[in-house]
Amino acid sequence: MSNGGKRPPEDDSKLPYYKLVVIGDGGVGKSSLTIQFFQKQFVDYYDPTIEDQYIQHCEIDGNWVIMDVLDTAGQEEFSAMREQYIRGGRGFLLVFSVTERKSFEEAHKLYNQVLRVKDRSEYPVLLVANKVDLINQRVVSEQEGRELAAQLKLMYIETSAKEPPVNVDAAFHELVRIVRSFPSDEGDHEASMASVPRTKKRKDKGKCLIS
Amino acid sequence: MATRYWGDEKHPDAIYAVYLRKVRYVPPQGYEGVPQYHMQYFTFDKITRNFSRLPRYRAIDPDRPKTESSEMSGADHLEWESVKEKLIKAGTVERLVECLVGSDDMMDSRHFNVFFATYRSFTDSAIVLDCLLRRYETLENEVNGSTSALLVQNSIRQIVMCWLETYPEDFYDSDKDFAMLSSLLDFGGRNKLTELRAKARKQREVFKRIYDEGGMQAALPSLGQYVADMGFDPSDYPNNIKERVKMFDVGKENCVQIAEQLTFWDAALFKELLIHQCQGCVWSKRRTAGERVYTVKATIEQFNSVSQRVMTSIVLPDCRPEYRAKIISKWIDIARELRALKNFSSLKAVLSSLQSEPVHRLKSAWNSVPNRSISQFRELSSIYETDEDGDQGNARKILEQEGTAKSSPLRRPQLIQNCRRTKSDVNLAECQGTVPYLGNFLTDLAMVDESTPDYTPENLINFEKRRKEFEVLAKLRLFQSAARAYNIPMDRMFCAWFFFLPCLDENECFNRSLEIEKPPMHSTPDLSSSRINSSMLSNGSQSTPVKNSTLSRLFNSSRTSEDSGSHNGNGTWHQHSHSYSSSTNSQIPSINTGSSLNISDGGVPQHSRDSGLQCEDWIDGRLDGGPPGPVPLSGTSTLPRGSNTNTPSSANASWTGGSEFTPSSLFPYSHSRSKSGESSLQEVKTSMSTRASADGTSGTQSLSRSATPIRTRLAEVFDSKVFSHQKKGSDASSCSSSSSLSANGNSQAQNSFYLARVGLDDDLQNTDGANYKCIKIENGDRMPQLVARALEKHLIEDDKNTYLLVQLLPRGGEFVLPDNCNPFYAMAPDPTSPMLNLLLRKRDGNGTIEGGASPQLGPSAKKLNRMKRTNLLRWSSGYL
Repeated sequence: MSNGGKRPPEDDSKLPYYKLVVIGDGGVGKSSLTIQFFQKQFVDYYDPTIEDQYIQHCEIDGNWVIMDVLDTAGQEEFSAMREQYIRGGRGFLLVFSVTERKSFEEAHKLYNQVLRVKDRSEYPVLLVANKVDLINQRVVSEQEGRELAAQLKLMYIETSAKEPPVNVDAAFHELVRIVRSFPSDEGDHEASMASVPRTKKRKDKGKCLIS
Repeated sequence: MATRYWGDEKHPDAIYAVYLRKVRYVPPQGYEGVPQYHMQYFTFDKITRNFSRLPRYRAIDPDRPKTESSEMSGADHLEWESVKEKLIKAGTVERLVECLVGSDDMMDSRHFNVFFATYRSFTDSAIVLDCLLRRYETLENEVNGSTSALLVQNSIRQIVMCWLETYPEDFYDSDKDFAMLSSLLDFGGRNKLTELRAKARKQREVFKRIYDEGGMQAALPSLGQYVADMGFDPSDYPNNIKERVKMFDVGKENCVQIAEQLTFWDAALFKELLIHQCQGCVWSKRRTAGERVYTVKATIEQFNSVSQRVMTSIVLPDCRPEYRAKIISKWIDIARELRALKNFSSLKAVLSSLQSEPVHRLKSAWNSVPNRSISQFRELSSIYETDEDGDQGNARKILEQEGTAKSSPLRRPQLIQNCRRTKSDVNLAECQGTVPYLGNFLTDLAMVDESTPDYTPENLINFEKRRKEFEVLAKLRLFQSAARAYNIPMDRMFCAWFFFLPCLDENECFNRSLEIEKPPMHSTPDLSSSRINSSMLSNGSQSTPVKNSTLSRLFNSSRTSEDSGSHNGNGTWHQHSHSYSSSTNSQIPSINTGSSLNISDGGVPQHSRDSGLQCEDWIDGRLDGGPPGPVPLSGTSTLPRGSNTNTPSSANASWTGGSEFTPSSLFPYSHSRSKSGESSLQEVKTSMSTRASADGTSGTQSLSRSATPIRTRLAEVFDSKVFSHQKKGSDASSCSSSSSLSANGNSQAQNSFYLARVGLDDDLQNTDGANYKCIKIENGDRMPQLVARALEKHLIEDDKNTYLLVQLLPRGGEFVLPDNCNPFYAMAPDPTSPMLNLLLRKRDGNGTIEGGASPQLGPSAKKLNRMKRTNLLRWSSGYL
């Protein structure tokens, strides 16, 4: 826990705010990553049906940030919803399960969908190989994972959300670093899309622009 | 109630939480009368209470003021005591089943609800049934003399009955012997439980029928299945999806009906949803055990089929951005109706399609969506946006606030406007239900499942987790009962209409969207080379070949790719249209050569030969600006729009008349279907060639601008199938206005309708003076339809053919609207008034309009007009 001893600043309105989205095929363990990351924040009482509880202050490399994570586990089949969720995100954990090849192939497609919605040639995305604890069931090797990441020009990380968790915090923190280092010309981009209502509205809020 | 947690009570096979509850007593009023328990029972409170165990004192809620204190003064009695209550937190299956009978030997309905909603995650129904029945029969041995044993037996019987009633599907299995029901029947026989046996037998009959008809899954309501069952003839709908996309008719006022019918199906499926199939551990195994979640899948399928049809209806037609904007606006209108109906499922499906990339990126179309629609869309979308300040999701709040309320706080403007229609009158009563968007519940349940372990460290089933799950499931259950509140009759023709709306998948839609509007980056080579948007846009720098290949795939046209290669990214409009027309083996010479408004005579016959004989007349008449007046064929052309006011078609006799969605009204030319198909091909060409011209460099702009009016008019004609003849003057003016609009390409909110006041001519007037009704005149309206609407508003039941509409012109003149015009264009603009002023007039004897449609101004008419105008203005000042 990176924020163990220290407390976040009193006034958090000036903190950079990152809207992160966890995407991936159904059953790849997205929700377990998200829950693992957030649950320790609310040790005594954690109610995953309250949306507030997917927002967390985090100290990353000495700077406090606010992470707001959207995980729509269980809704993968509502295909029209996906792009809507993607549109809201500033960074993505692109999760696949090393025990399921289909989810690995799906990850590639999802990345293309992100680019398509963002209308960019690259975007802050971290490729996450999950369930590495299931060594015997593993069908996607680390090498394959890294090759795909290299091909898509993404960072790559291997995780397990089962106790003891492996790299779960690291994945979220790394994604924040990637988002932070990504040139933020979101403003221009959205100005060009302002004709369409949704983006216009988001732009008005402008919160995610401070980075 | 005053309860507080006391501590845990641990056993090897169960952990209970112990609560202390303060119970206050009042003396009973004699011994007659039913005791009143002030404990909360839930829905399954069907226990036949045993009167021999009447408590001497009845417990009341300690928080209640002592209103009855005067009555109690007489006798000494125990005022209150603390009662220990145990709630199982974890345990073995046996213990959990045991707890279904509470410590008072009654059925514990709270535990019943949680247990039966969730037990499938840790055991299966056969085991539970076995536990229950075994306990019953064990008690049989000690039942003599023990009232407690009798009570418990009674409770077990209740539990089994309630179970069978609430979750009958648990007793179904896919081989026909229904083992659980059989053992229940045996059990009932052994123990002489006739009621139970009868119920089980009845259930078995039901299951046998379901089995014979294809199983539980086939028993679900299914729109597609329904369409197949109703012996519906697919040949009534064109095979060509290009043709079918016109079924989504923006000119028709059927948003309410579409929203209602979508709601009918969403509600029908949602009511059948088995909530335990949504449980995280069940739903997460949908890939491997799909048959366990079939009701959830059915709901999602309906959601997806709505969203795909929305998307397709927007990206598939070949039309101008303005027309596409109208399609978008219409879906926004439908979304508004869905919101008012509290159908959050289809609402979300429609909104997310509008926000999906293929639609979202079509800037030219969005630019033409009226501001009114945009703000409505924004408002509707905000329901689902999670606030970035981290506020609770709006959607949840709204669901909580009005989810189970009887009516929606939103008015339904469209409904009020349309209330004259008889079809929706049922819903005027506002007896409303709710269909929530299921996705949020699935996510909640997935998260609950993930965040809590299934077993405690002692390896007992963690029943606290199931309670948490039940909180979500209970909400679903509540909404299911709310969904029953809808009172929408099914429109059979809607099913077929919806089923046959074209439906492309997301990628096809996206490719299609790219054809409509090229990605902006492609104009500059350096940027396009930096794109690695590979799979979708790999050949992006030359998107035209892609366009052609998909087009030909979609529309089976005979286009060849080599032709299309000739106009990569540059070239003049002339070249474009040439290559397109040659590739389709037909020509539009008039457009190729004509750079003026009038199409040369040489060109037209060629054109009409392609599009079939019906077009010959209207093209001649309209584009030459020929004399107005009735043309034989135009009568048939009015059918597609005016269908709801027209007499029922000569369609299949099995179809109930009056549906908005009859194919006969959509496709009146069953005999000339191929022709209309061709004409749509013409439209493809026309709009494409001009699109190409718009993409062209500035050097060709003058050429393209001069060509635009024709194209616009042509597209207009094709879009709306308005084959009208009108005054040359108004024709030209509307022409030039639309050309200027389309020339700059981002016209905001072109007025797509006029409002008009319709008064009655003197001889129609009742004694009580001025009586004006407001009607909306939309682009695409037809005269007969408009007259019918005006008559309807004035509650005149008469043959619409014997009436005509007269426009009162600003300077006191009259303009008799021709029978075959597009009134939207024919009406003269009236800058002096916020509304147009019309009069409904009875035709003279022969039923024709005398002397064409030129404004005529007799002395009497002048006087009349002046009078009318004063009235109208008075009316308007009071109103506006």
